[in-house]
Amino acid sequence: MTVASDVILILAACGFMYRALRGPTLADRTVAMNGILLVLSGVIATRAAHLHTGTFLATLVALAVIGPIGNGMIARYIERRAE
Amino acid sequence: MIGEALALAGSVIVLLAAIGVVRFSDVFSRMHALAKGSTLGILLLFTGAAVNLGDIESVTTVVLAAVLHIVTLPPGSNLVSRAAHRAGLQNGGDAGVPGPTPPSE
Repeated sequence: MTVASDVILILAACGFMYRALRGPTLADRTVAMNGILLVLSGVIATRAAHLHTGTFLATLVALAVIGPIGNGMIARYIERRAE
Repeated sequence: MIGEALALAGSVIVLLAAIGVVRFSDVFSRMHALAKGSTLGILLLFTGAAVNLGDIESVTTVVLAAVLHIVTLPPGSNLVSRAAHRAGLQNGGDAGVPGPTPPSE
């Protein structure tokens, strides 16, 4: 069953990757990269549940911290480029 | 069993968010789909992992990650959508967001 949720998450990552490659503006690509990061942390959580080890779970905290920092920096860049 | 069902539900919700990001026509609509859908989906995934693992160390780490996601995801989406709105990237979409108001003198 965890394999099924992994397959569904990989399909979601394919959708986000399509938007990241295709997206007309930088904001679309930022949204898509944010989604890929979320899918990555979801896959780490399901793998940890499947393997019954909590070794990788600190990665989830690191991803939750550094993802929005990059988000905010790209947002500031978009805003400054528009001026 | 319960944890696996929760993880499956969360991954389906993340897939719905991805479909929204692919199919919607505007930066703001895509942001809407991603922020709401993936917050709920990632919380369900983390809850499923915590129920499956069970020991206190893993549960506290997963709860910390979930709280950080709740705290940081909506402000990040708000930052990007505000920047897109100020840069005037909303042309041709279905969201019906009006353009940036000119600065009052």
